[in-house]
Amino acid sequence: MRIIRIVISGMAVFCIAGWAQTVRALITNPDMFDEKTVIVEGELIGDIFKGRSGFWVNMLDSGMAIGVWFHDSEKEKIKFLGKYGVVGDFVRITGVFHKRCIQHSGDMDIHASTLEILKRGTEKKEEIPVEKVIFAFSLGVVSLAAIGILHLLSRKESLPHNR
Amino acid sequence: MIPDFSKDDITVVSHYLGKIFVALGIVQILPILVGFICMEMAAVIDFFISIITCLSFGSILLYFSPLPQELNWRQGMIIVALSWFIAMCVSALPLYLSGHFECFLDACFESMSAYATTGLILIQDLDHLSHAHNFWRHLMCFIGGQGIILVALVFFFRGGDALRIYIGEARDDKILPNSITTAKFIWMVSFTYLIIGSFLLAFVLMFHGLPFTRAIFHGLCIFMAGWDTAGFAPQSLNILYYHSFVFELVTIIIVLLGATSFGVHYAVWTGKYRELKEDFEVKILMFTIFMTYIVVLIGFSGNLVFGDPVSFFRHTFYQLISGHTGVGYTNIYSSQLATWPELAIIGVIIAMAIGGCMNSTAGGIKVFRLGLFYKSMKREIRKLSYPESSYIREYFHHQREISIDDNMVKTAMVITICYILLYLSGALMGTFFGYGFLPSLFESVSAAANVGLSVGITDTSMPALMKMWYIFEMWAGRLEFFAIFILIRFLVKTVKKR
Repeated sequence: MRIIRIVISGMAVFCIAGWAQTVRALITNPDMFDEKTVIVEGELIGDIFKGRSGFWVNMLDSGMAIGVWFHDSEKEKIKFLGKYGVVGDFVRITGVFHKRCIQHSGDMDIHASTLEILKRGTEKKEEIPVEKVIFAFSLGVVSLAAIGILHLLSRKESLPHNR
Repeated sequence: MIPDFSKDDITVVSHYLGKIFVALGIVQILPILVGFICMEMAAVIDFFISIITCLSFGSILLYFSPLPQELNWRQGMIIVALSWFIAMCVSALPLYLSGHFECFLDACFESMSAYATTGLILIQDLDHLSHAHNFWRHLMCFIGGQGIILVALVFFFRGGDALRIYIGEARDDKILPNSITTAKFIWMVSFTYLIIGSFLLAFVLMFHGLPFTRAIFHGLCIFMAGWDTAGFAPQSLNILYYHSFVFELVTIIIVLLGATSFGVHYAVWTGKYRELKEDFEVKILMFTIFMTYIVVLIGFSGNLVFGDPVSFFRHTFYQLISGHTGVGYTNIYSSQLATWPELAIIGVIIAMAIGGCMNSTAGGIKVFRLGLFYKSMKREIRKLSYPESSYIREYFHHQREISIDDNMVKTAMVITICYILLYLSGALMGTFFGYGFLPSLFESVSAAANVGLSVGITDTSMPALMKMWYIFEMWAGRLEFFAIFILIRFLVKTVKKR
């Protein structure tokens, strides 16, 4: 009986700590992962925020983001942070998840112990759909013509009739 | 007998709506400039399409509805209500074209949420949105907080017409003798705070290592949405994104300033600092913040769920102040808020329902009306205690000594009842669609009182009818009903005539 219990709890720990969790799973079920080592994968986004002996970066995965606290030594590894026109570094983070981090005034966060770059981010070339350009151009021409005609008509109407 | 709506009404309304269209087109030049600075050409095209649409509609309406006679109250109210609806639709256009919305209704929801300074969002992948679009979201908050009409008022309206429109936008405090000078004063105060507040926020962010351009962009956006108690943020994590207690403290100061009446701002600007201490509305605001926080504390029953007392205070008080001022900024996830004890949630609901000061950028019933009920009750009790022949008067200090009269109380009571009914209607709709009553009430109050806090109901997956109802709640709540009622009557009469 004891052996079975050890095997089951071992499997549970493996499930929680061994496989990558989604950020959504952590945020919606914080009690399950609180103070446990987790593996998460996602895109680093936004900005780096300096802190005492470390820094913050937010990580986006499955439509939800979470703050990750890194040691200063990891800073060099990060090259791209996701924003408009930039795909951030896609990373795997192993760290301890805190439902309410005592070190950071009760924030829900992950304290990263390792950072692995799975796919280096890139700068995307802005894509402008041709149809949109044509539509905007046509709309502009038609509207300017219409506004011009209306302006002329209103000027004509405002002129004295006996001229 | 109430006069019927005539063709003249339609001409007058169309003429002024034309002006509003033109104003909305002109305002969108600002995000275009941001797009050029950040080299975001796709965004520039989106705004170009939107500007052309606004100018075209505006020109057509102005041409076919030539300069009318002076506005009457009824027309003023209809113009206000329709302006907000039109502003929602045309401002949603560039948002929808950005490709960050599942449907046009979601984009309309977002733009109404911005204009009504609510802060509930349906945008997808906000973290990769262009600077131009993001700036537009926050600029809409800034415009809506002051009042869409207030933008046009300064440029396009005549003196007599201005007052009738000004009041339709739920502003009845003439700080200065004339509505246009009042509008100019409101803009001056807002712009001065905009410069100071944005730099202060940017300074905090630069201290955390952000480069100047990023810091100033975030500072500007957060200020625009904070001062106008809208609660939008440039990133999906809202205030949680910044991981900074100091930043949160600065936002608290900004939102408290935003939730304070422009009348009090005027008094302080003209050196009457005592007003801060003596104004009856400010006193009630402080009292209700204190009392609702007590309810939240009792709800938690001393259970410091956020670890130490400082962390507990940081998170609970932030949600409370955010709800009370109507900003909707949050430093926790909505799923965390949903797990709060019921009494704590009720405390936040009460705070949201009350809202900030009259003639501020905040929504909700307003503390002024609450104070009025208290004073009126006190007067009634005194009346009963004194001989029948006595004449009892009750005063309050709101920039000057004001004596309570029955009309004042009656109007306040009607608006309060409308708010309560609106809150309940959204709660019932949420319950009908299968959400719990308390979360539904929370979300409904958040929408109608233009707050923006969420327990997770507001989502792209929620039924379209609920999205539409929330849009109505935000619209009606922001304009304080009368303009909407008159518009509905106008529409019904027009349809019946045909």
